[in-house]
Amino acid sequence: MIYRDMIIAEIKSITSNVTFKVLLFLLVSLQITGMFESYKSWKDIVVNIESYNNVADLWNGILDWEMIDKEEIDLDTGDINSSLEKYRDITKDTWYVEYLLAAYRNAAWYRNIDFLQEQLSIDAKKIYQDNLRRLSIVGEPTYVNCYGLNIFVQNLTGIATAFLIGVILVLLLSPIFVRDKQNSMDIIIESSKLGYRKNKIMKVYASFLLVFIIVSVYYFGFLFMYLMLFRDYQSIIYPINSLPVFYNSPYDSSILGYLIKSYLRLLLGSFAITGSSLLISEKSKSYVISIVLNLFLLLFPFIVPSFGLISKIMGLFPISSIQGLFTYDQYIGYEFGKYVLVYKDLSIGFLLLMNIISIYLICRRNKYYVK
Amino acid sequence: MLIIENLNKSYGNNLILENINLSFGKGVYALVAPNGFGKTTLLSMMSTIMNPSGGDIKYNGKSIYKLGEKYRDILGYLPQTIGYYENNTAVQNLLYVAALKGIDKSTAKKRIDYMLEQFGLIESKDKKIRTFSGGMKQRIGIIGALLNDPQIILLDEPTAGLDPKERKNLKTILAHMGQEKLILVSTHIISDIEFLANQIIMLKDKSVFINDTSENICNRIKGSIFENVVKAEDYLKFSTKYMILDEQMQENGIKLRFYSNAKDDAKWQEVFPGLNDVFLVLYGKRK
Repeated sequence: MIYRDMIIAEIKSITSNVTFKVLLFLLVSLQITGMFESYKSWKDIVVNIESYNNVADLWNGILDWEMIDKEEIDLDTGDINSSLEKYRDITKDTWYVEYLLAAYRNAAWYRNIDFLQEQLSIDAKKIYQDNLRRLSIVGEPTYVNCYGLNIFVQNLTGIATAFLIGVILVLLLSPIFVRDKQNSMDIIIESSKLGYRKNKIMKVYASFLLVFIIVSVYYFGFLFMYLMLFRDYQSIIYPINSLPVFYNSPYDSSILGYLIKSYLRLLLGSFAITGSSLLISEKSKSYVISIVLNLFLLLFPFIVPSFGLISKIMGLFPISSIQGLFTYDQYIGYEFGKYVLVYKDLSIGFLLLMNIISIYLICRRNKYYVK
Repeated sequence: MLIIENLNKSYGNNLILENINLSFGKGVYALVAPNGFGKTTLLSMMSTIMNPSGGDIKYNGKSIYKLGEKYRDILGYLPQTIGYYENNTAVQNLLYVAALKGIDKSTAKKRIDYMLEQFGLIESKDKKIRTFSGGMKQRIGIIGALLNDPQIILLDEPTAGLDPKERKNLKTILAHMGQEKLILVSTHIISDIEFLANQIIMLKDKSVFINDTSENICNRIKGSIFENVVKAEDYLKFSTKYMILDEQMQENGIKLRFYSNAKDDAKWQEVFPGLNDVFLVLYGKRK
């Protein structure tokens, strides 16, 4: 009861900050804008996709290259080349949509496979071959309604969102311990019954709870909105193997699993920012030092680009852990039957470990401190 | 109730307090010394914020540092500089302090309303702290210290920022509470505690110099405090010879209150010393 009151009081003191309200507004605005822009482009694309689905239905579950319209097949080399320019940069948001369309033109690709493979980057080629193989094996018609969900995941774990979430958390949590030291609240805390250590534990608890609430409401709130907007409720339970459009996790058993993993990464990445922000705040004596150090840590992968790949793979740095923009590490990992444990999955465990260590470092008993 | 035994505190090689021995029962005690003489350090150790370099403080025979949470449960401490969450209201701040003190919310709400009423802040209970004056903030701090109905109350400069009416109100409350509890008021403003404290503790040279009642302390310099009116041109000569304790401009000259071992002039009028005189004589730099 007491602890609950204290946690509520801590959360109130954090959220009463004007910065929090402004940045939260920006974050929500960004997501809503992204959602409607995606919807607009989706409406154009879906017209084409539906016609391809109709063709796919004609295949009756078996991919038959001969049944594909001649016009689709006879793309000249120049067209394919210009298309490939887009595919090379696999970090582009729209890549998977283009890729899907290309997959239906794959007779043309197939015919020129040697030439095309030379043009593709190593990563793109791997993805291309893998999808082509699965299309040939599974051969199911491709229903692309899940495009909405894919956009959702892309938007929600995109760089702008990750950056804003990171900045919000850094600005909110960096002052949390420094403030007590600067306004002498620490004296009141230390001399009160619960003492400084329990107060620290409560602050950590309140911060993590607040972040959990923000991330969960944000993620599932927008997931619901995306589902409503794209009217795509059913695709959430589709086996992902039948959806080559979902190139991000071709070995997952379902989109639901993919969404849960994406949520966990966002949550644990946010927790990692929370943990590091609190730890630095606890050790700092000024707001400026605390905020600057935390922002430096948050943006480290961008400040030192050569650390980018390592940090993304290991999930060492929070912002690279919560943004899912880069995908080429998806296929680097260990295969267990149909499931591939990619490094990004490992990063979930790594982030968890980071959080446990940071919480321990903040809350450990000071040997000089009285019980 | 509370006993301080051979207490020492040093920061590195810098000795702040040495061999402090004191015992406290119920009543109001005043800890008096100029700034920088170790008052806050002593209170910090008594409130378990700081560990001593040597010695111990015992509550009912047990070390307060071992009692920890149990001791802090019966402690109310008002630090010299008080922290607030400026964007929270008075009630929100006090509820937070109540939670820190382990008071459940419903009890805390009743107690907060009662204390706000007593300290004349009930009208401002839902206003944000950042809109409060210095005196109002100080009263919120005092309420915070008293929220858990503590048995031991340590107040570091409690009257700072309070206007005369608020000071009088605080003194009345403390005098009333002092019948049941141990109250230690640290101050360098003698008028705040002169008629309030049962016992005055004066620190000097890192140790307890005087620990006595106000009356006994004043008697120590009885017969040494005088008043005299001098002409303006004689002021400099007079002030270099005697320790001036107070001065007041009058039509016929300057009325001086001063310390002298002997009555050197028949015109001098001997007056009964007050604590302020003792303070100035003891720590006196003012001549």
